[in-house]
Amino acid sequence: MNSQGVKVVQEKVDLSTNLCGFKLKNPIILASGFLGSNGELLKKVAAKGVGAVVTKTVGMKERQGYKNPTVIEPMQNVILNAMGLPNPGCREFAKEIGVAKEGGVPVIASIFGTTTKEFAKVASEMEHAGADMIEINISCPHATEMNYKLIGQNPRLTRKVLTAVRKATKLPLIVKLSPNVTDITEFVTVAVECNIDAICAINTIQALEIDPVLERPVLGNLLGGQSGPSIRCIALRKVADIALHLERMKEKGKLSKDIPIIGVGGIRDALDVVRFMLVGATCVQVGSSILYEDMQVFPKIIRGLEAHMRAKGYTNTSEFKNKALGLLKHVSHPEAN
Amino acid sequence: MFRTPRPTKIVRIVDEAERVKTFYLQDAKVARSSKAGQFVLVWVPFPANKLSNTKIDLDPHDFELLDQIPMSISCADPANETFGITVKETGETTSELHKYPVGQNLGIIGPLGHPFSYKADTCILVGGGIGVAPLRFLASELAARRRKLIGIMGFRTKGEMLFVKEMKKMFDELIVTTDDGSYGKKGSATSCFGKYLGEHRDQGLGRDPGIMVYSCGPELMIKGVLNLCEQFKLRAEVSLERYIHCGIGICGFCSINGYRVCKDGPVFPSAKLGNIKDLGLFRRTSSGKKESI
Repeated sequence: MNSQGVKVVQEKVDLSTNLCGFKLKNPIILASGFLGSNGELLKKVAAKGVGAVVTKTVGMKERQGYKNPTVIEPMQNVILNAMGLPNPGCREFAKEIGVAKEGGVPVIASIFGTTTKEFAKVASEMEHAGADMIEINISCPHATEMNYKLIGQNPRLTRKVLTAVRKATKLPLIVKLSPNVTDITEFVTVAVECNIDAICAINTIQALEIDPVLERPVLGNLLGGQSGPSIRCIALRKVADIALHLERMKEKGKLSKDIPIIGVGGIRDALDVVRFMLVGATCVQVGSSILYEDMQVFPKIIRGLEAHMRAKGYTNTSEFKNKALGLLKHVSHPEAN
Repeated sequence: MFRTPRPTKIVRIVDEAERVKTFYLQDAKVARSSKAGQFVLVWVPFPANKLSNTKIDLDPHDFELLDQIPMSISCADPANETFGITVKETGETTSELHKYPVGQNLGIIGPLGHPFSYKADTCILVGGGIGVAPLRFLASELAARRRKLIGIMGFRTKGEMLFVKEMKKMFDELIVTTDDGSYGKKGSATSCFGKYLGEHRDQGLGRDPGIMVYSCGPELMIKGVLNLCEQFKLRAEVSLERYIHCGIGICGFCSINGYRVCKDGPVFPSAKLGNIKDLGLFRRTSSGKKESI
């Protein structure tokens, strides 16, 4: 009873979320590329309360990555990186998966390959290593072996890679899409047709920074990808486009199951998480914000999400998921006009 | 200020020893706010022979020479807004940097990382080789706070000695060792430190909470120093080194048993070091692969 003698019912907020058959304790996931190069750090992030963690992208063979500077913050809310996929090779990395699993949350292995065969092989190695899900990174702007053309910018190549990985493993598959395309929904269709289980969007946006005094590009690789709060609204738009496209596919009978969307791009706090969920995201990934608040950003977001839901009277995230999507239905995609 | 390299002019270069130079750089932020034990990321933007080009038309191959490297701050002068980095020529980037003249710009991010604490009455500094550089900065900060300073500095040979003349003025007691006996006591800094502790055992070293041991140098030396500190129940702070990509704590590649050298370190207190099982045994390469030291 409160002071006015009115009975207060404090509903319990349940953040648990189903992702590809895994019950995550909350929808907050560590994004690939951040602190994920070794199991011990992944365990530390898990201990901060996240629902799942994604590893640094791992490939077939060891790669040293590009020369530094590999990560820079050229201005407020802008982070540029060009790491060059440094990784010890999937065999070596298998040990790290084992350590990461001790964190007690699902471990999602992010993978890449320089050929479709490699993608398939790395996926199966990660399955053997004990990874719970696979995130297929077809959109890293730095996979130069593919002749400067991303797999994620070419629907035909994307289909080949996704088909090969689908054949190689029974694990749930997430594909991480590139925003550097004319129409992202084209790739969503390919993913659906390849029987992919979830879609993650977006990867970094192609970017460049020049030093005006030294008169050269700053990143060691010269070109890079942008992340951080500055890309959040772009990511939101892409997630909305994807959600609406999936709805349309369902309406047309081209899709029968639910394909969850994992929203990623510039998420800084709990309200950003809500924003992504309102346009159709089931889960979100957080990465660049670690720069501003270190690992404390995770408990802060989780507590904030709980507080927001309590204030709004929600007990479950499904009660507000997709809520802002209806208004966008007729404006978001040219096909809809 | 954003964590991106800012052009920083070289104002003075001092030859310190064989293949070791100190570059003094003009930067108010580092000069005023840095603490001993912190580092800067130093970006060498061009190969030295391309510096005079009026039109930049570099072969992409030239970029293979270049990197951004973490360097300990070896001194800071807030009044003149300059600070120093002491660089040993060990690889392609450092050898390009060694050819840079006064007046050229480097890119600097920092100061970064967790510094040494200045909280001790009696300070024992144990350094080895180029690891003496951050201890020189620490010694000047501690001397300014009128702490009792004892130093044990080890070098391979006389020609590689660093800052000895300068440090003699700052320390109450300074012991220099060389592996070959060409200067000072013959032997390693670690064995000399062990001997020193043995000789001063009666003076209640381990029971004095005001004593702190500070160390920087080769990792095996640090491990030896830490073992002695444990044996004599002394508190210690040591500076570790790992391959650093981002330098700002987000990529995780410099991790040692879950501690990021760039953000949680490079200076670690002995209380934390018990959890660092890989110390002196393993490090990770730039690919993240674990290898024996």
